[in-house]
Amino acid sequence: MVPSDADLWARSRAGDSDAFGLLFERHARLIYNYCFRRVGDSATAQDMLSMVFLEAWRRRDKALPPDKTLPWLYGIATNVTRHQRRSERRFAAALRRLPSSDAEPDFAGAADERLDYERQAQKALDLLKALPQREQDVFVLCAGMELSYEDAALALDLPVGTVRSRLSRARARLRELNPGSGHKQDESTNAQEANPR
Amino acid sequence: MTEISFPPLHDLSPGELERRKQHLLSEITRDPETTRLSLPTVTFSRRRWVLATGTPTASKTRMGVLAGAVICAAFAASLIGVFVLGQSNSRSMQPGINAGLGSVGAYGERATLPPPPRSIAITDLSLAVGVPVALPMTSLVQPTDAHSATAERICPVVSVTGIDGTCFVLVRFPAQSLTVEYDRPTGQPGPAGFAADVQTMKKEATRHPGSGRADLLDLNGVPAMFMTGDYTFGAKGTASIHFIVGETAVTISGHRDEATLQALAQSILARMPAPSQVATADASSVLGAPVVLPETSLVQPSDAAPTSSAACPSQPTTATPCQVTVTFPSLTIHYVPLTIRYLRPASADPSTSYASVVKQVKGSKIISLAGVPALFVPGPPGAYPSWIGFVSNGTDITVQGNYDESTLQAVAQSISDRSGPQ
Repeated sequence: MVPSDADLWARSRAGDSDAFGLLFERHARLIYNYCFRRVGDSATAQDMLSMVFLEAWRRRDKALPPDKTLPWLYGIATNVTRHQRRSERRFAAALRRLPSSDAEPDFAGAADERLDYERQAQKALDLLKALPQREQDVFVLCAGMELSYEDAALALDLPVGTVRSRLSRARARLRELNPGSGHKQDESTNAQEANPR
Repeated sequence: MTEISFPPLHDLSPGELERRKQHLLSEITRDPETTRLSLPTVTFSRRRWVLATGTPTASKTRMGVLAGAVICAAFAASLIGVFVLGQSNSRSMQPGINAGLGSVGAYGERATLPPPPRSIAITDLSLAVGVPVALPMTSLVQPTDAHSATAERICPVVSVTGIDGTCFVLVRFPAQSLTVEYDRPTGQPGPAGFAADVQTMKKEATRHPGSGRADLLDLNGVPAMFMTGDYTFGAKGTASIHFIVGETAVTISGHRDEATLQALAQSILARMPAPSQVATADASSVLGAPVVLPETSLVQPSDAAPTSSAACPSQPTTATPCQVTVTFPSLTIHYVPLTIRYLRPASADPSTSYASVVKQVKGSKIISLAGVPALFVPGPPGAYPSWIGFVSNGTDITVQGNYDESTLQAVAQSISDRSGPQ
């Protein structure tokens, strides 16, 4: 029988590192992809994946609602991406201890495929910059990772209504920036929104 | 097309996944006690002070516990200390004024837990929300049926300027299986956004059959949303109706049908005053009592904005009072102006309210303004403003801003002194 997230988290909280390793195996792909969509660089996203789970382990005192482990991890990932440099400083020593990679490529495919993904991600990020940070968070979680409003709300510690409205606003803003088929960006708008008030 | 095209999900190579896993396991077993005791120092959104991975708000939402409690401090403003240097407000940079800054920067960027939730008296609802609010009044439920109320996060939100935090106040009517929630500021695009929200929810409902229903309603010209299932703000199986008055969102949830919830919403709308702008020179006549402005080395009456916000029902009561809010834009620190709220009629027993706050909000205390009892509540860590509340000649006055206790006290003392004999 496959243990549930709740079981694995309960065991992790009790200090069971093997259970935590299983949680890592189970959710690493989604968390990595979420980080990748936030930063557009696979190597950075891989380090962020490590940081997210290191941070989750440090916070294993946290009691989670059943089946909400993944949204909670998304919440940590959001903080890690939002405060990338600080997170890197905090986990610098741990990351330095990461064994060097062997010769195999990052992806099962090839470097070309990785570069193609990174180009797509960078293109998406260019458009995302038109949104305030708080709307970016909601948009990538809901539209990019297809989280429910409720799970996004848990990840970001927001009321569900705020998630809904921020997503709505993000979409409206993107519509304004992209009345036709192309995503037109307004640099002045970006600068203003990137530093709200 | 509004959606951004994200790259498809892809896998880490098995080798990389295993390498990361082994590294993780190596790290977490390296010194478990050390890592366990070492608290994270994540700084959360500059405008929020609740752990992003902390209390599962969404879960609480579904359980109908959206609000907690606290009259604790202030509106949100924020932005980290470095932004002070970028302020165009020259007065805020004068020597001596910076010295009056409150919690700004004092806490660094270290994450802090929100103050613990706290219950509030039903009679203090308007004080807690930051704007006069009304409770439902129909054949089903009367205001006196309200059993308990809690406030959470940054309450009161007196002025929405510079705000991005939210004050949640939840009132429970257990006998009627109803809750009424007031969120201020709404943090939402307003009625214009309802159509888009409903459209989004309907789209999601198509993807996830059985998740719920969302519809637009018109409450005699006021747009509203009706929601069931996953889209409600209440416990599972409930329905919710959601509308906005000024900058305050109101949500009624319960095991009730649409018509019943509509009637409840109408009863609130009919009695909850929408804020409007009035000339500050006319503020006293709007309030029905003198609006006494402060005069100190920091602030002069002439610093008041020419217009103020007023929210007054036709017949003010303690439950739904008349409120005038005066801002001082030139005294803006961290995007939050010094703001003074005048509210009438005042609470009949402010001392009890103060004592309740002091008991539950860390750092708050009762002070004396030359014999007039007042409540000081420090801004929560993270550049949130502090406030002082007191009653002067039947008017409940709140002075709020990003200043330290002594500076705010001097402002409050000035108002008290200029108000004449109590």
